[in-house]
Amino acid sequence: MAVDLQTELSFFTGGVRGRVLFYFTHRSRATLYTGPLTLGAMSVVKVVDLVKDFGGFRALKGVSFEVEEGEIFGLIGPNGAGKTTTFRILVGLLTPTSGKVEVLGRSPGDLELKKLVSYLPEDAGTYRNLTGYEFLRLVAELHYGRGREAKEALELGLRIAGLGERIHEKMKTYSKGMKRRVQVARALMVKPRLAILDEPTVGLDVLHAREVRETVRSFAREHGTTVLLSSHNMLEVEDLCTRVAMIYEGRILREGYVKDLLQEYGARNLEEVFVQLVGAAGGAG
Amino acid sequence: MIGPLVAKEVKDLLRDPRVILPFIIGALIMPVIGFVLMVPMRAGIEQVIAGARAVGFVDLDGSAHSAQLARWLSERGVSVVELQPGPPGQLAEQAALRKLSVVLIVPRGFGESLDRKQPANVTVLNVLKEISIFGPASSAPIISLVQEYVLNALTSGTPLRPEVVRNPLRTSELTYLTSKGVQLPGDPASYFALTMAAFLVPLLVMGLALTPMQMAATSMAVENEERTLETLLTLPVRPRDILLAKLLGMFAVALLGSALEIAGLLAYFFIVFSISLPGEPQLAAGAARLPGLQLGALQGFIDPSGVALLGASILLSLFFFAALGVIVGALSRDVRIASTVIGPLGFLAVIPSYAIVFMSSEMMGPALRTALYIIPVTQPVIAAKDLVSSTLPPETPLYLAASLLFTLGLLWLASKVFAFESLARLQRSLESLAERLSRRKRSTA
Repeated sequence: MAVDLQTELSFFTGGVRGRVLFYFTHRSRATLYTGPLTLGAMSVVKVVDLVKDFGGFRALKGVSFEVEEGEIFGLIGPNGAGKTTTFRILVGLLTPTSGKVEVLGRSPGDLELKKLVSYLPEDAGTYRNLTGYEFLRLVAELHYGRGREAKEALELGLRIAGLGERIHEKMKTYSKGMKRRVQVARALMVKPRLAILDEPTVGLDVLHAREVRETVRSFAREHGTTVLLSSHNMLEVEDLCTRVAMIYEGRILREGYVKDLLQEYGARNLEEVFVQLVGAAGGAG
Repeated sequence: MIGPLVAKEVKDLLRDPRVILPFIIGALIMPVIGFVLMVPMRAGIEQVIAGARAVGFVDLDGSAHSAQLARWLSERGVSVVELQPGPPGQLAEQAALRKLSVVLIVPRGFGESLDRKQPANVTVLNVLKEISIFGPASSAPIISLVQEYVLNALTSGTPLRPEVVRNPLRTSELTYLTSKGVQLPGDPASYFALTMAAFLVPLLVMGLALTPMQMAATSMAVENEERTLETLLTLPVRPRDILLAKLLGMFAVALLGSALEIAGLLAYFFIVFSISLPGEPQLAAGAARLPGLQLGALQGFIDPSGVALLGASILLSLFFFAALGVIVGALSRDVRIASTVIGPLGFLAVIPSYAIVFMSSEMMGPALRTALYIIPVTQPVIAAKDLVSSTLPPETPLYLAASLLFTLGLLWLASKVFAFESLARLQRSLESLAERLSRRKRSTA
């Protein structure tokens, strides 16, 4: 039987993130492999010069960015900028026209990778005739079968959804906010290594949006999950993300830490940064 | 891994009124149709019986025979009402006033013809408010009685007996069916009704299969419309398992739905054949005996193992149609597109079936015959035809397996394009096809 063990030690030194990676492989005999020893965090998502064409329309025009392990990374931009297309490529729903995409060191779409990556589409629908409980149980069983792990995932999902007894009602009776909470719970309950959340608070009122943000933040902290989210609400991203990439018309305009960007552009918020960037790119008017 | 998905499908389908209602309506509508048919049929038969019990009588002959004829009818329970001679319009008015639907006009020379042992003339005037299927039947019992009287009159005083004249030749005909190696009583025409059963199979298959196909297409299209498929495709499950689970869940529900529809069909036949009329129980009994007689003939005529194989073939056909529905649904961006495409597809599936019914076995070469036995749409039709008209080929179990493989192969092919991106591309193509179909339908209307 083959056993692969990977142990990581992460440390922070004055803003420089380092990591020592020990990699053990046991097949017929045990060997110890030391390295690679890297300074700078491991990239959970690596996108290099990504291009996507839909017929004659080029939706992504050479997008590049990296998401490091454990961070909450925001891909921000207006509607139609290419956020959803990028996410769909990352989860294997779409294939890139050209460029390189790696998620947890693998090519997207692989079945094993699907166990490690959760995706919440912007307009994810729910099964009208299933209860929220049945839906969460289905997802847990698809990930873990019918064992203890599935039960634990379901319990976690029920906690995240926080719908109380209404979780046993058919989802067609749910409000938009309730449906979204079930979807967020569905995406996080399996403790993914990477959660890709496309507009997780879309259509939610202020209070529910805040609740979902808090859930994402605390979940990522508690479980070490890397979160890649998109939003056209830049204030929300500013509140939630450590690092962001600004995308506009299929191009990344800028990538960096929120604080650094605000400082660099002398802006009060990311919205101002974005407007300046778009203006500089000649697209504001 | 597909267990939870199948369970989800079954739950989702059984709880969706859009899916389950067609089955329930299908099951309920059949007895209602039976009842709706039965009421006018009963009234019509009652009218025929009532009409046969009374006749307007116009005696233009005034002979002993015409008077005897009137008495003959009266003695046989017919109320004979004398009418004044006149043109047909006037006679019809007189008859209508007395609620008579049949007027018997005995012309001059009636008695004389009988005395000379010559065929006699009578005129029957049917008085109807409107043309109906039971209209012509009301005069038949009266004509039959008049014929009986004339036959007696012509044979009296001769060595001939009326029954000899009525049936001058006694034939005893047998039919030997070489393909089945069986000897049957009667001429081949007697078994024509049985071959008609083959005509019903395409209708039965279409009736049973269209609903699951529609249901499968709707359910799959809802996944696209409600944007649940996108999520499903990112979960750790293979696309082919999603398709297979959808199909198995659908098939389970379709079996339940088909059972409901068959129950409705049986209720229909029970209602239609259970017409009982006061005073004429033999009519209802006769009608009820009819299918019984046919079934009796079938018992010796049809191989029971062949019936089992035909049943399996119908199930496989159902499975295929459900698979086709899943594929059409997957390729449809919404339920509207799926419905537009399913309708013509259903008819396309049935047209070859009718070609098979009318085509003799000699016309089909071995290759075509094998193909028809493998394609799940045509298999139950050709099997039903062979079961009735000859015998099922010994390779039938192999054909059934091949038919199942055909469906699974189709599903496998579908799973190859069952990816978000290719589906989106194909959905766009199907959408434009559905648009064209809708436009054509509107312009035809």
